[in-house]
Amino acid sequence: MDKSMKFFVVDDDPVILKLVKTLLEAGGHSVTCTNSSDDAVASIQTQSPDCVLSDIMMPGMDGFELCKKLRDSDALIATKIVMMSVKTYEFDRQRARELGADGYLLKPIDPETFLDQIRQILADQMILQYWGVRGTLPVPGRKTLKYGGNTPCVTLSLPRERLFIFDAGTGIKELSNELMRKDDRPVTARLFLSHPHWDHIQGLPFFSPLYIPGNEFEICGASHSDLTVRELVSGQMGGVYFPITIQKFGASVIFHDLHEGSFDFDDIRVETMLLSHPGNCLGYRVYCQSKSICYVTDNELFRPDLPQYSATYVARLVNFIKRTDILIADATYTDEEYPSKVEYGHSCIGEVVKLAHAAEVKELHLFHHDPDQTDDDIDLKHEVATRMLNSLNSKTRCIAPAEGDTYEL
Amino acid sequence: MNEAEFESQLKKLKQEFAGNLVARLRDINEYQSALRLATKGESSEYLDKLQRAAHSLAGSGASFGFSVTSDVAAILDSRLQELQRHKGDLSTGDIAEIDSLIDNTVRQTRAELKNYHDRN
Repeated sequence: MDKSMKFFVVDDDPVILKLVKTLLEAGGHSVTCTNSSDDAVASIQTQSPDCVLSDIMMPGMDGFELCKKLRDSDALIATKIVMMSVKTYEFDRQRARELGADGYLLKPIDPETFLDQIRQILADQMILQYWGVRGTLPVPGRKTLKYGGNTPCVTLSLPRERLFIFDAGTGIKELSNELMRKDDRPVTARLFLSHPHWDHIQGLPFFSPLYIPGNEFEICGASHSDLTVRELVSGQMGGVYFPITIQKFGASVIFHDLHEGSFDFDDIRVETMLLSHPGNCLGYRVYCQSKSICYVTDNELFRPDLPQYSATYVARLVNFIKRTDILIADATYTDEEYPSKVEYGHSCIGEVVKLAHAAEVKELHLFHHDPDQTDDDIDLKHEVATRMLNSLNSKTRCIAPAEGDTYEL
Repeated sequence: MNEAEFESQLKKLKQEFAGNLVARLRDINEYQSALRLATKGESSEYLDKLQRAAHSLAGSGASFGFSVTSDVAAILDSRLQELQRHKGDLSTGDIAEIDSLIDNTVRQTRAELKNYHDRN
C-alpha cells in the first residue's frame, strides 16, 4: 500500500467517518465518505474505489448486505472490501469472508496502528515463515543458534487472514506463543501434517490455541493403513506418552484424511503427492492467486545408480513442483553423508539441486537438516548447493532459511 | 498534511467527540425512558435504537481515547443484542438489568469525560 489509493468509507457514525478520513488522508490516500449505506452502492459503482471500508451494523442496509451487493458487481471485481466492526465473534468474521470481504478490522480504531492494519489486510502476498527447520530431533545449543534448533514447522499466511501451518514439530511452540500473544481474537487455521513421525508432530500437544474454546482448526494429513489422522494425533496423547489427551482440546478440531489429489479451500488449491519416505508422507503444493509454494519433506531422492531409483517417481515429482515460486525441500544430508544413510527416507544436496533445477523452481529452500549438523555445516551445504546450481547455469536461487525467517511472495 | 497538522486534526476530532458525548448519553436515556413506557408491540423499536446507540458508543469511544466508555458500552451492547435475538417481550427483570447497565454506562462515561476535561 505504498501508492496512493482511492478509499470509500461507509459508517453511520459521522465522527468515525471523520476520524477514518483524517487517518487515510494523512497516509496520502484520497477518501470519499458516506453515512448512508443505502446510498453507498451507486456511489461506489460510479467511483470504482480501490478499497471500501464499511461498518457492519448500520440502519437500513447493513455492512454484510452492502458487501454482498458490491461483490455481485462485475465492475468492482478489483475493489478490496474491509469490514469494520465492534463485533468480535468468529461467526461474523466468517460471514464477512464468505460474502467476499478481504479483511475485518476491529473497532475501536487505534489511530496509531490503523494505517498499518489496513496495509496488512490489503497486502496480497502470501507470507511464509519458518518456526523450525531441523529434522529428526530438536538440537538446542551454541552450535545451532543461527538456524535454530527446532524441528519442522512452517506457516503460510494467506490473504483474508487465513493461516496454513505445515507440520507440528517443536517449532510450533513458538508459533503457539506468538498466536497467544497477539490478542484475544479467535485463532482459525489449517494444519497440514506431512506424516506422523515424531519430529513432525511432537510439538502439537504444546500448541496452546488447541485448548482454547472458540478457536477452530482443521488437521489434515495422510492416514496410515487403518489409522486415521485423528488416531495418529491422539496416539501420542494417549496417556502413556503424554498426560493430556485430545479430549482436552477446547477448540473445534476437525480431522481430515487426505490422499493424493487436489483440494480446494475457498479460493486456495492444495495439491498433494505421496513422497518417497517410509510410511505415508504427503508433499503439499499450495496455489494462491498467481503464486505457489511446495512443502516437500520428508523425501528420499535415491541416486540414479541405486537400485531403488525410480525415474517415474522423479518425473512425477518434477511435474508436481514444476515452476513453483518456493520449494521447501528435504535436504538432510551432504552428498558425502548420504551413502551411509540410504533408505533413511531423506535426500542429499546433490539430488535436491538437480530436482529443483529440472523443475525450474524459482527458489529452493534447504530444509530438515540432520541433527548432527552445526550452523557451519548448514552454511557449507548452502554454499555447495549454490555452486552446483551455478554450474548448471540454473535460474533457481538457493536459500537456507533460519528459524524466524519470513519470505513474502 | 504534516505531523503537527495531523495531531491538531486528531485533537479537534477528540474535542468534537467529547463535545457530543453528553448528547449521546442523553439519547440513551431517552430511549431508556421510551422503552420503559413502551407497549408490548413498541418495545422492539426502542430496544433497537438503544442497542444502536450503545453499539456506536462502544465502537467510537476508545477510538478517541475514551476506553472505559467503550468497555461499558460494549457490555450494554452485548446484552441488548442478546435480548434482540430472543425477540420476546421484555420482562421486568430484563428492564431492571438494562437500567442497571445503562446507569453504569452513563456514570462511567461521565467520569471519563470529567477526567478528559480536567486534563485539557
